[in-house]
Amino acid sequence: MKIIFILIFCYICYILAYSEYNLIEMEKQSLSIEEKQRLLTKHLKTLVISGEALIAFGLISFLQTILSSLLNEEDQLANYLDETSELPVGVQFGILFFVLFVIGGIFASIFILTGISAYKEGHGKKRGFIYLIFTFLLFVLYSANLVYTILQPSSSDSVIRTFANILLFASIVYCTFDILNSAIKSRKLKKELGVTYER
Amino acid sequence: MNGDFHYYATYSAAYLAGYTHEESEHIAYCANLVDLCTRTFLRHINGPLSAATSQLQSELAGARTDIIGLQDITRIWASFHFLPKDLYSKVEHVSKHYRDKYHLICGPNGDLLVDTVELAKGKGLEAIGLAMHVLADTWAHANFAGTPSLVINNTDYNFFELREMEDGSTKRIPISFGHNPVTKDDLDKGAYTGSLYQSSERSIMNLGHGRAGHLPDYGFMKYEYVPAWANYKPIIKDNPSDYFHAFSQMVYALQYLRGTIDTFEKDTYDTERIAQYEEKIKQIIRTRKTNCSEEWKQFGESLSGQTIAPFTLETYEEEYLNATQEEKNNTVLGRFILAALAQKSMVTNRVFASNNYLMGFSVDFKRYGFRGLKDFRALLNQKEDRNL
Amino acid sequence: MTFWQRFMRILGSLLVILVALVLMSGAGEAYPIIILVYGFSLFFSGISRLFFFFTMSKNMVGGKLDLYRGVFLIDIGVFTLSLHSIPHLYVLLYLTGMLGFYGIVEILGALDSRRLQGHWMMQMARGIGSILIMFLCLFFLNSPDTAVIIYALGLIYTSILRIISAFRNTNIIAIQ
Repeated sequence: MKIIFILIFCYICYILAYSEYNLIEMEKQSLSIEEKQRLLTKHLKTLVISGEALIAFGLISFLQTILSSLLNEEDQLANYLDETSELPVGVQFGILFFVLFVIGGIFASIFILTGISAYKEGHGKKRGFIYLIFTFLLFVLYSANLVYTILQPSSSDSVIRTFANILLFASIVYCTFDILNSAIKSRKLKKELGVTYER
Repeated sequence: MNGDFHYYATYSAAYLAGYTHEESEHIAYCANLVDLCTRTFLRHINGPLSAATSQLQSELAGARTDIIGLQDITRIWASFHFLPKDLYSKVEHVSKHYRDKYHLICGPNGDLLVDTVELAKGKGLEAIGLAMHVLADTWAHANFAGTPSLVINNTDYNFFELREMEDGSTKRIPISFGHNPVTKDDLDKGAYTGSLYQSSERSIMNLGHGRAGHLPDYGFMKYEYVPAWANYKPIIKDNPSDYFHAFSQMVYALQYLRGTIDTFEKDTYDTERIAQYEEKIKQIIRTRKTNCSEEWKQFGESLSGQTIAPFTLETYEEEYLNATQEEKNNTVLGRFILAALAQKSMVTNRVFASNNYLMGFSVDFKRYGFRGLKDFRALLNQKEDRNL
Repeated sequence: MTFWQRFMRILGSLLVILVALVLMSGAGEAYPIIILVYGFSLFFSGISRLFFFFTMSKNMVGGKLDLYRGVFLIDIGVFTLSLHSIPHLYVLLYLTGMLGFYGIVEILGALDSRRLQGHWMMQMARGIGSILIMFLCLFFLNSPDTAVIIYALGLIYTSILRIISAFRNTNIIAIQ
């Protein structure tokens, strides 16, 4: 099963990377102004789409985390409850849920704010470097998550769930890579073409 | 293109090519009829429905979007309004389905245009008018395909009009599209009506140039946009230049069809014959109006010195309705119907021969005898009559 | 709307009414089946969208959106499928939440339609109705049977409105 997942994943990466590979090969040659304009349009559009996708990823992941912890019968939160403690179980559960909510909210906020920044940069507004740092952190985190899920799929998850997780993590990795790639290249192209930013 | 160009401009081109006033009116009538010969009209005159050269909005709304329905829609729109430019263009690393749709992209000076004009030779003024409509539309509707396809006909929100200002500079004005079918296009504010974005590949909203609204049909409009198929390369559609090329190519084609010239070749325009009228023609094309019928009419009447009758769809209905079954093919509408069937048959055959099934199947009558829709039997009978 | 679109809309609405009647009949087995049908339809929609991306829209400007749409649908579908073994009350909560989300989408669509001077009242009625049903279900959450009946009635209400709207003439723009 692992081999099948790896093979499918590699094939998908090949198809997606091929279009980028063509781009990289072209960019190695010296380009005309029209080609640079075309590439700039492509990168800006990619930023818009990937930004929208990242916002949606953040919202969906947050909602699913909250709903899973609330609705899951094999309640992972229950593992952290201490029945010997003075605090009632209900209060402990409430505290745990609140902590999960806050952590999930922070994570979702990173996704959403990064996505909004990418979206705005795609529409021509100037953005700093900070959102790119967060994008890179997400890229590294989800790459590790993806590799771990492929090599050590959770025994409690069904095949379909594992497949969906791999797909989701791979999409987030691809999305964050796309944002980094397009943001850096679009800034470089804008400098070369002398295009100014909107405020 | 709109009725102003298909009717009055075609009249003017025909007259300049050497046709008489009556012949030019006849050609112009048939050229404009291509936009109005719908199944509803054909039912009204008890004509064969397969000869439809256009579809009403209500017909499109009720059309099937399964494979049969799509082939039917594509046969109409790709044969008469979005003639494919290059059925064998190279596009790599794509699926066959995408390649087939890519090959249906319309453009001027394609091989099919030559086939269309040569097909009309010796078939009467009706076939000539039909061919002129197809020719003109290859210029106006370039870069769109006559099949419902999101991946080909969709456009980006980057839409700009390139307007020439009085001081000679060019201003890039953003264009916005609304989706209310009742609202008229606002030429000054740059607010136009276009079809709504539909993520379904086969939606009727993704047919032809719907996503670009009526912009391809305005002669004065020069604009820049990014088509879905162009890999992010913006295209500048220079309608003033294209419309002028369409007019001069029509004059050249009409001379071939009249017999003045022996061959019809691509990329050839008769600019000499229209040289003295060039300024006037360009001025009309650049007039910033959605309908320039008045201007074209005045120009045509100034050429011939006679009044051009306004277009009336019902002009030849009585003749067709009153004719017996044997005489129908000798009426104006009968000959137009035959020309439409021949054009549709030819284009479907060429597309089918290129291993593209988006327009359905085409049968070689000589090898297999008659197969398929009985309406097309009229073409076979016409050929047999000529051989006799 | 084409004939086939009308037909599918009416058929879909009739199926939803059937599901609502089954829910109201008190059959406990209905919940897992509803969740499974819902989940699988989302899952296969996602697969279909991914297939469309890899065969067609990867060559289109802005086509990458289909890749992400496909992944979202698969993820939501799988998540929905994972809810089959939880208590019915939570299933009802989830379904009610989806109904509320659907209501918001309808209201936004109606506002858009109103701005474009199209038909908007029926769509607004569906949206407001869905949101009201959601709040009523939440209000009666302590008595699950009542909440189920309210939810089922809500489904019947929106389905009937969809059937009525299927017979309306729709303005379309097909540029000729």
